Order: sequence, then structure tokens, then C-alpha cells
Amino acid sequence: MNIYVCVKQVPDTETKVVLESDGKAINTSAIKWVVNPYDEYAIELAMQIKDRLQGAPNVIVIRVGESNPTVEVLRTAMAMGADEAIHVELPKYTLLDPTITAKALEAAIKKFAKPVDLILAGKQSIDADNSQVPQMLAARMGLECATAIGSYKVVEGSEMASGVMEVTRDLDGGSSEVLSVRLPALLSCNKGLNTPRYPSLPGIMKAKKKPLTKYTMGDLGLEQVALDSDYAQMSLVLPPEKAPGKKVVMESDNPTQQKEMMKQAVEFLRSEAKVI
Amino acid sequence: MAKLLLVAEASEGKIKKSLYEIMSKLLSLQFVAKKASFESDLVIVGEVSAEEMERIKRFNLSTIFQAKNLQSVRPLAVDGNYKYVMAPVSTSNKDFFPVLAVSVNNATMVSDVVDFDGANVSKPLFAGKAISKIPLSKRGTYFITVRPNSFGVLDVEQFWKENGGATAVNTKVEAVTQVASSDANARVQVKEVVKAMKSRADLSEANIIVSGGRAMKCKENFQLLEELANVLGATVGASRAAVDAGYALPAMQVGQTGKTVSPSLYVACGISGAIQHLAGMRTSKIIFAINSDPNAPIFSKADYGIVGDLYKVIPMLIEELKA
Repeated sequence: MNIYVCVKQVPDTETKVVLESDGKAINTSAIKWVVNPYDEYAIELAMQIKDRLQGAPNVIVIRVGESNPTVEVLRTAMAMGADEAIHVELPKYTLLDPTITAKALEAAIKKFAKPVDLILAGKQSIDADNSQVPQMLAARMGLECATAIGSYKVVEGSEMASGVMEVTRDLDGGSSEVLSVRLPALLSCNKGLNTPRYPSLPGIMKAKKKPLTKYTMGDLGLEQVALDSDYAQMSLVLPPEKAPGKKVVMESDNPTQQKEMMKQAVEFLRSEAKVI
Repeated sequence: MAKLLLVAEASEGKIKKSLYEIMSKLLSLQFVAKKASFESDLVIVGEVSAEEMERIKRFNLSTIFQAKNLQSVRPLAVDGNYKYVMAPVSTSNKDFFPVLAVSVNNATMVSDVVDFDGANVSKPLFAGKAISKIPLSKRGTYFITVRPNSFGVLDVEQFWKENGGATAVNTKVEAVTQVASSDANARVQVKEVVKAMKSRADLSEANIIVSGGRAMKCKENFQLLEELANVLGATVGASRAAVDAGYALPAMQVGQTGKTVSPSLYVACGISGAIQHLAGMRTSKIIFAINSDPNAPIFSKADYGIVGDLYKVIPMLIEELKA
């Protein structure tokens, strides 16, 4: 039984974005790289399934991304307990066309040739924010897909090749739905699903010896396709900086001032900004 | 001439404001900028009232298709020879569009687009810390989801007055072949839908958002924000700090690991303004901040800031708004 977990390496959320002078890419020299936060929930879910089944499932983490700068997000996932890893290498940090990422994942999984029982992924990456790859990968692999799951329940006899899992996900406007999913399937994970574990020290030591298979885009026949994509022609700009607005301080023991302040604030919203 | 298909989900006889935003954008591209030579079709999923239909027809559409469910849109979107297939971002389109894009050869999909000029789309990256411009230069189909609140809605009657009448509307209305919405053998089945207690606009579409941060201190205090939201007709959001502390649900989170929003008014209560939060709400038209710390970074982005204790400020603000 094999569980594939798709992970991506992304700039940390505190990153201040600086552009390269050609306006085609971001400057990566000062970036702290992390596992995409939503993917951590996917890794944790795989680990919980593995724990519950006494270690039986083989968990394979897979990543399409740059090998330079090398940050060991695959090793991190293996330190959390994944058994092996596949790295589809890109020459540098690239915001790839999601259709190509999905093709690369599909091709790599097929080349790796271990049958798929379950694929887990984060619901989206926090750099490109597309939320396309999990759905596309599922469609390409002929798998059913439940996206942005926020909770997960074990149904008796589940998690096996033909098991049934019950998941919930948020809909628009605060509603949610409960889905039953028959495996094999792909689940994309949302915040709230679980609390990702930290890698243990023995886990980190063991991770160094776990197998890591590397492919290039050329191995998968996708090198030219990636170069030809419209995404390869993207140009970047920084959003305009907003000038600071008005700031008023409430005086603690001055009810008249306070009252007047509220009046002015509401007046601003109604008449000047015209937003209420 | 290139063809564009806009996918509109109807609810309670109407289509969303975000669809009028896109139709407005398309209309002005076709007539004012004269940049885009394409004709637009619309497919309505669900029922709209006769009144709504008339309003929609004013946006110069070639054909309006009617479909009972999203599955029935599929043959049209895949085989209809469209250059662009477009829809506002929604939970269902997030799932539907990538699957459509896989079904069409040489398709490209761009999500969460904030601008479209007929030849390029713009899309925020890193939750808005940068904006990318992607050329649409290929022969294949482009599947595009548009972020709500990105374009204004045209006063369409005024528009026609200024742009030479064209009041005669030649829109055809056709039904598409219906496809069954659920398959008893599907491997994913909806077991239950849990409706929200209060029906409020989704954060990503909300016109006004009242958001709380770490200074809310506990779950119960969010009630105060609910009250303010009631008065303003707003949706309640939260910062990552508030969500991580358990004061608010993950679905309420605004920021780089939550939702990116662009309402007309964003009221930040007790939110210091971490870089990942600012990224997620910086495109709000008006940012109104309440924070006791005069040096909080949120004030550098706020159009209007009140330095004061939110437990004092918010009740007074509610009172003033009601007055």
C-alpha cells in the first residue's frame, strides 16, 4: 500500500519579496525556505494513517522544484516519518505552469512504478496560490479528488486499497460538506486538519539514509514544454505602496473627545471613503 | 473571432456581483478599449428570474446557455471552441476548472486573476506581495478564474448612453444538453451539507470585513466583532495569530496561509499587521485599524487608524454607526 505526498518548497510567509532587476523572477538570496504549510498537513495525515496501520503503508514524498538552493524539505518529510522520496529537479526556483507541474508529478509517479492507493497534497502552495495541481493530478491519474479537507474520520475497514474515508471541507460562506471517498483517491489538505509533528532526532538521523530518487524534467519529457509555457514569460511587479492615512489617538479620560472621534470616524467611512 | 465563455452559478434567482464585475470588464474591453476582439457567451448554472435575465442581457452577450448543473457545462466548455473560459473564484470553480483544463489539449489555466486586458492576465503571487503578468499567447484554451472585487460594476444603461446606444439586444438563449449531476457509482459522494448558522458573504467576496487579531484574547470576545459586523453587514475574519490561538476557526483566516481578500472596507481590530497578514488584505479599498499600540505596523497601511483599546472603541463605534 503506497501513499504519495506531494510537497513544495516555498519562501517563508515572513519573506519580503524583492525582484530581480529583469523583473522576471524574485531575488532568492535572502529567502528562508520552508515546506509549504498546507503540505505539512498532508505529511502529518500520511503519518497518522501510517501510525494507525502500524507502519504498513509506504509513504513516498514527491516534489517538483529547484535543487539549488538545496533545502531539505524532502529530508524533513522523511524525518517526520516518510519512507522514501522522489525529487523532480528544476534548475532554479520557478513558478511553473501548474498544468506542467501536474504532468511532471504524474510522469514521475508512473516512472517510479509503485501503485497508488492514496495521494495527499496541500490544497495550494503559498507562493503561487493556484490551487490547481492537486485537482489536475487527480484528473490526469483518473482518481477522484476531495479538495481542501479540514477534518478526517476513519470509517471502519478504511485506508486500504478499496477503503472508504470520510472527510469534511469548507464551502463558501461558512457552510461545509461531508464527503465519503472511496480509495484510491487524492485528498488535498487545509489548515485545521491536524497539527503537524516536529521531526524527532532519531527521525532526522534515519532520514539521511532513506532512498531519494531524482529525475530531471528531461527524463520525464517535459523540458521543452516548460520552456514554451506562457508562465515562462511572466513578468513581475511589486504592488504600489499605500501612503499612510489618518491616525487618531483616543484619550482615555475624555468622553467628549472619544465621542467626537467616533463621529469623525463614521463620517470618514460614510462621506469621504463612501464604503458604508 | 475568438470566443469567450463565462460560467455563472445562479442562486436564489440571481447571479453573483462578481459575475457582473467580469461582464462589465468584458464590455468595456470590447467597446471602449477596443483591445479585445472576442464575443462573449454566458452559461447560467441554475435558474435566474426573468428580471435578472433582462439585466444580464444588457451586457452584450452572443448566446446565453442554460444548464441545470456544473457537469452540464463541461461539454460546452471542452468542445465549444472557446479561446477563454472564465468564472469568478468559488469553491466549486476551484475544483471544476482544473479538471476542465486537463480535458482540453494545450489548455492553460490561470487562477485568481485580478486583471485581464484581452492579451494578458495579472495574478497576485505570494498573497499579493508581487503581481505577475502572464501573456496569453498560445493557440489553446485559457481557463481563467477571476478574484471577486477586482473590477467595478458598470452602470450599464449609462454605458450604452455614452457608447452609441446598441440598445437592441440580440442575445440568443439556449438550453444545453443536461448531464446527470451525481453518479451513484462515483467514488466521492456528498453525504451531508452543513449550512452556516448565519448566511454571510464568503470572506473572498465580502464587501466589508471585520477582522480580529491576537488582542481579541479569547473566542468569546469575537462576539464583539460579530456585533460590529451585524451593524456593517460585514463578514468576520481573523489573523493567523487569532486562529492559531484557537479564538477563531481556520476558515476565517485572512493572510498568506488563509484567504486573500479585497473588500471595500477592512476593519482590523487588535491586529498588529504581520507581513503575511498585510499581504492578504492590502488590496482592500479602505483599511480601518483599531489597535492600542500606536507603533503597530497595521497603521502604516491603514487609511484610518484609531489608537485605543478595542473593547472601548468598538462598542462606541457600534453606537455611533447605529445613531
